[in-house]
Amino acid sequence: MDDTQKYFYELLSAKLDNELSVEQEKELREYIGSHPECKSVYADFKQVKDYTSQFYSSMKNDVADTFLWDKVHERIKTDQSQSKIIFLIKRHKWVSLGSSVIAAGIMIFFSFYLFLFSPKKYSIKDNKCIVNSIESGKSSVMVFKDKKTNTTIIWMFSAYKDTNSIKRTTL
Amino acid sequence: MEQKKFEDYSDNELVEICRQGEMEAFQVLVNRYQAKVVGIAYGVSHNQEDANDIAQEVFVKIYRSLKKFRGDSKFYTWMYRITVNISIDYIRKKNRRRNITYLDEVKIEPDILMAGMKKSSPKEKLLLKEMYGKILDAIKTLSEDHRLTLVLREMNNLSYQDIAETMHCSVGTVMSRLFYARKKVREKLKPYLNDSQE
Repeated sequence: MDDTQKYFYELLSAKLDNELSVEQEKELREYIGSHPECKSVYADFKQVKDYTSQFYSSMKNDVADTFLWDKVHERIKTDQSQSKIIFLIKRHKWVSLGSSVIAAGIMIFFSFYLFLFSPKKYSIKDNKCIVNSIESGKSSVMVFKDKKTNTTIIWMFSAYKDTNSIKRTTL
Repeated sequence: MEQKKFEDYSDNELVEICRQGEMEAFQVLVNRYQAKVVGIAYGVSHNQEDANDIAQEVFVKIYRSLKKFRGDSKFYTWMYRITVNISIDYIRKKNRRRNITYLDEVKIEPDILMAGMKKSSPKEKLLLKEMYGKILDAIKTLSEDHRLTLVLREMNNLSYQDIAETMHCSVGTVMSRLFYARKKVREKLKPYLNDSQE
């Protein structure tokens, strides 16, 4: 298909959509006059257009009952409340920044406090050994001996108080 | 004097009212165009669920962008352009996730399209079903731009000028794309076309 033929076939296709100007109509009529084979091409294209339109109309019927408003409205409302928060943060950015810094400071302070002043923990690893243990129905007592630090650890558990207590004595 | 209902307002008037925060005006716009927007999205995605998701996205985006709409173009061509862009993005993202082309797993079946037909005889229905299958095959071979041009023309009945505005191209390009798309469909439908001449 050369460029001229392509041009007139495009016009044929546009004629089906009633999209030709008066000049284009005239141009096409003259071309068809000297190229009778165009008539069968036009007839084919007309059928193609009819079937394609029918195909898309069926698709359109498929979605004709769609009702979107509720979901769209819901999304817009969510969007608006989110943008209000963002707006407030932007508008009062110094207040937001200040409170974030204070919150971070408090957290750091408490972390240090817990690290520095937390009670020492005792374990029965390494060279510690259980010397004795006494158990009853309600409570139990265990005695550990740490050879390295020469320390005796008494560990008591009471079911009544629901707490563990550790006492340390130096031998 | 009877008060004018929102339904009686033009698109541009409704846009102006929406900008003042009147949600009811936007509801009228959504109701006015939902079928067309879903139609385009369905024409691109060939999947009803995806089409609904795309359409929701489109209207939310339109609401957010109402301030940007200057009124240089028609409201609906502006809206269709947003629909086309969101549909293409949606499909591309979906393709990337699944590593396939969406049309490879098209859910629409000629049977679904035939569901609304009551008047045709069983023989006619069978023939039409076959032809719809062929049309689908032809559409699968088209590029995004060709497919969209065909959808905008045949599904939404847009003029060439409106399609050109929607797709940011010339009227000549629209004409050329439609011819190419129809040529492809014609190749697939050749055995079904009557030889009669006008």
